Amino acid sequence: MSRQERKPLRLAVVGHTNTGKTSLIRTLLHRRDFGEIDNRGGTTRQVASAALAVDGETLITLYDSPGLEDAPGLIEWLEALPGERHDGPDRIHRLLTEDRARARFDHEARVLDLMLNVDVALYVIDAREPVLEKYQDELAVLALCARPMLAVLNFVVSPDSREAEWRDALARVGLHTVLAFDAVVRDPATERRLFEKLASQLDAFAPTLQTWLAHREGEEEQRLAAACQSVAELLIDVAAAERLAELGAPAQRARVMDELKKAVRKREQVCVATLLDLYRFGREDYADEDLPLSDGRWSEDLFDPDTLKYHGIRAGGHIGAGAGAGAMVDVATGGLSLGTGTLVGAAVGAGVGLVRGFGTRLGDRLRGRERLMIDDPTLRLLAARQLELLAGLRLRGHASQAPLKPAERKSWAENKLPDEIHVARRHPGWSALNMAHGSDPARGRAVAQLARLINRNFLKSGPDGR
Amino acid sequence: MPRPIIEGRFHAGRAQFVSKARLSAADWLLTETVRLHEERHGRGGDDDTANALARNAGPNLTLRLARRAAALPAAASVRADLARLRRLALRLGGLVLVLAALAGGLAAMASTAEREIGFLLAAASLLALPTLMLLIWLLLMLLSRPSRAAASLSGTVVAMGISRLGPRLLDGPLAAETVAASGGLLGTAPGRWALSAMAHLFWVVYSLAALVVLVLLFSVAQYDLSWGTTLLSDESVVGLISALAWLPANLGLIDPPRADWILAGREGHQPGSTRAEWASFLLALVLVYGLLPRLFLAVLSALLAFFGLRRLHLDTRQPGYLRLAGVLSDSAEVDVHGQAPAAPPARRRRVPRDADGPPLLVGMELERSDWPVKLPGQSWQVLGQADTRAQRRQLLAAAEGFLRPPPALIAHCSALRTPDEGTGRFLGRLADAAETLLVIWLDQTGRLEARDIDPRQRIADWRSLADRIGAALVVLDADQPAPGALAELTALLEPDQ
Repeated sequence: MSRQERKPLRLAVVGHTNTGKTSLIRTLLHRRDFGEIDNRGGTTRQVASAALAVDGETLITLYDSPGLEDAPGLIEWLEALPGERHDGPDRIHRLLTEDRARARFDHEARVLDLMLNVDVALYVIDAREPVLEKYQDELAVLALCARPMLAVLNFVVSPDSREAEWRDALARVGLHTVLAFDAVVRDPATERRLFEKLASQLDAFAPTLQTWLAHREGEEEQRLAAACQSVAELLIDVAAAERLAELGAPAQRARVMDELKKAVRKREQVCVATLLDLYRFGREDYADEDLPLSDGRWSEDLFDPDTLKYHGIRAGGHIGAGAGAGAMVDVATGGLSLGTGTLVGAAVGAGVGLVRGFGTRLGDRLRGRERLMIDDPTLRLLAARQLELLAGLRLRGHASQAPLKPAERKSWAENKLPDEIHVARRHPGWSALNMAHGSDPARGRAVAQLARLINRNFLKSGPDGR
Repeated sequence: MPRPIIEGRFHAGRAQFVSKARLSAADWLLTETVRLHEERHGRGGDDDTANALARNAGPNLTLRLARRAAALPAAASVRADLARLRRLALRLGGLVLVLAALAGGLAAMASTAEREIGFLLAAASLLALPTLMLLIWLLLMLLSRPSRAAASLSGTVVAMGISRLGPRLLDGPLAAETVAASGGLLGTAPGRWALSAMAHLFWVVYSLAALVVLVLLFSVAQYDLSWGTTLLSDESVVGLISALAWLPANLGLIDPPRADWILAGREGHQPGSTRAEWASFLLALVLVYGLLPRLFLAVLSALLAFFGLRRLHLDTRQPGYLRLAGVLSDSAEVDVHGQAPAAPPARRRRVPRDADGPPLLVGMELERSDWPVKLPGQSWQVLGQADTRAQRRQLLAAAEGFLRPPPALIAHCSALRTPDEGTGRFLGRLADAAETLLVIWLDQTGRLEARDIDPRQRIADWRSLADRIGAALVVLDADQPAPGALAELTALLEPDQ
């Protein structure tokens, strides 16, 4: 089918007041700023539309409608209407052309008007509600418009949910296409199921819906790749971060350590904000979400030993534990003092870089300086936390149900850290925390490699693999 | 046919992910600088205005990102830094060209150190190095990674100069990222062409300087040019010289050399009369094999760089860009269609003067198995529940059947339900039928809280419904009746003083 011929699919979202119609549209759009929303009824007072477009071509137009408020009254008005009773759309037309009825059933008239002009409708149900007669009246009125309809059960994860009751009631009125879709939960799999169900109902629009699904998947991959890159940049920046301190000046050393910790915390927050932005959260939007954050930040401090313990990471690792968990490691003295030399070798990496590193460190030593860096356990913690957040974001609201797989958690907590991190340790110029200026292509390659590694692990243990 | 009310649209702007838009080098650098800074230090809280401007900047993400960067408060200082870097690059380029002129002149002087010039030796010393460098450049361009910016020595000097000297010259808050972005620019294809143009220009100047020095020397001093060989036969050398002369001769720079003329230039013969011709031959060789190829490549590289740098591709898949896609897509435009229905005048209902008997109780969509619930100190006559249309019709008929109006009609409603017009209309009609005060008793606020919904908003919605139908509202959770609410209900049911 050529592009010019393809007509966009018009999709109306209808339902009783305050069932989450606007939330559903926001979820389908991946936009949090569509419409205004709160828990109050009848928030949407007029029809608003939004386009799902690819390459500037609108594939699907979503219409948000005001809530139905008085379906029982409407049914009674229609029942009192004389004449032909079997032509549903005709009776709806008569309602819409009658001024007094339009004035009385203002909300309903807007919705019915919309229904007559779309290809398909999603009837949104608050599954916590009992199956009241007024909702059945709504279904009856909407059925008069003779448009394909798909029921969407919202709030099914609530303990009050009456999903089974609703499915039964919907089947009784001949509505068998039902989908549980929690509008506040961002779940790519459910979103895909929704469009697949639509495609199965609407043969003519199946290619359009397939195009849209393919586009969404591409977007999702791009988003994940960017998120992984963001985490990789964080790890490289922190692994390569270093500060110089005077030897034998404990106060100054403590200050330098604090300064480095602060810089690392800030850098982590930048990564968290990027991940939240990537997954389209408004800055105020995640307060009550089931993410491991509070107010958009990690609540436990990165350098708190308890945080390490919570994430199952052994403090100290193979670097001397003298400075305490999550503390800086004095690589300079480590490199020269007895015993720890080999440990530093393991931490810093082997080969040419090690020699070079020792050369400069010896120079530091002679100049009476020592070099402070972030230790391995802290890097492990940084990686584990960010990946946990990413897992939660990919399946928003299900973070507690689908956290990182234990294997993934373990791989960052215990296994050998990826080579790129060891290489970064030898390249202070790679870290944005070191006021480095250049754009070393080798850093770019290390970041890309590390991002690929994260992405691969992630796909292996991602929500799709559940 | 009713008029469709499908109005008001907004585009989520999905097209942005496959952007074909291009940016000029200045815009590209500014945008990249901002990205690098934000990827390292986070988005400042000062980008709301810039984002709003950017949303109007064009249909795709690339243009919007560029516009956003330009509108950020830091843009001015970045621009100033970029101008400084540009000046630095030009100065470094100038320096490299001066060096090239010196090197070319020196090479020419070295090859003419003696009045007796070995023709082949002079040609080799003037042409071998440039030709070798040309081959190396070709190999690097074909084989090396694109991210390795410079495929030449002079390109490296400029690139390194920018990354090493740049930070010392710049004083803006984004200086580090400005330098990094400039390094990134030199890594793009047009950036590589710019560095290539620099490299070719170096050899153009080198060859030109050599030519000028040779012409000057040949003009003011007498040199004897001859050729000699120890290993080769004279015929081979004649063949070699003829081959070298083929291109200059075909370009019309020299006459095609005859074999006897070449043999006459053999060392030990008396060249005398052919001195000028041999000198022109050497100049032509430097011009054709040293200068012209480099000139051609310099112009070609410069053209590619010039046009390439005017339309650079921005990689919007970078996390720093992709994260902004949401903020920079169009905001929703919602068209108000029609007027909200005028609310019927809210008549304040009162306890009737001739009221008699207990108040009536009606249950609305409650789902309480224990209905009617008992409240301490309250008594009423239960009229029934109003969950279905049939029940509502019965209730209306029953409410009309009283000889003297009851003191009040208490509508027992659940805060779990969203107040809607259907409920309001029915309750209004019921109170009209009973000709009495209407009190909405809002129950189950505790269960609403259990659903993580703030009951205050829901109560406000019910209050607004009550106001529209002239009813009084009492919030009273029957499971935990608050004494204050009970007293409020009792007071409402007292006849007006």
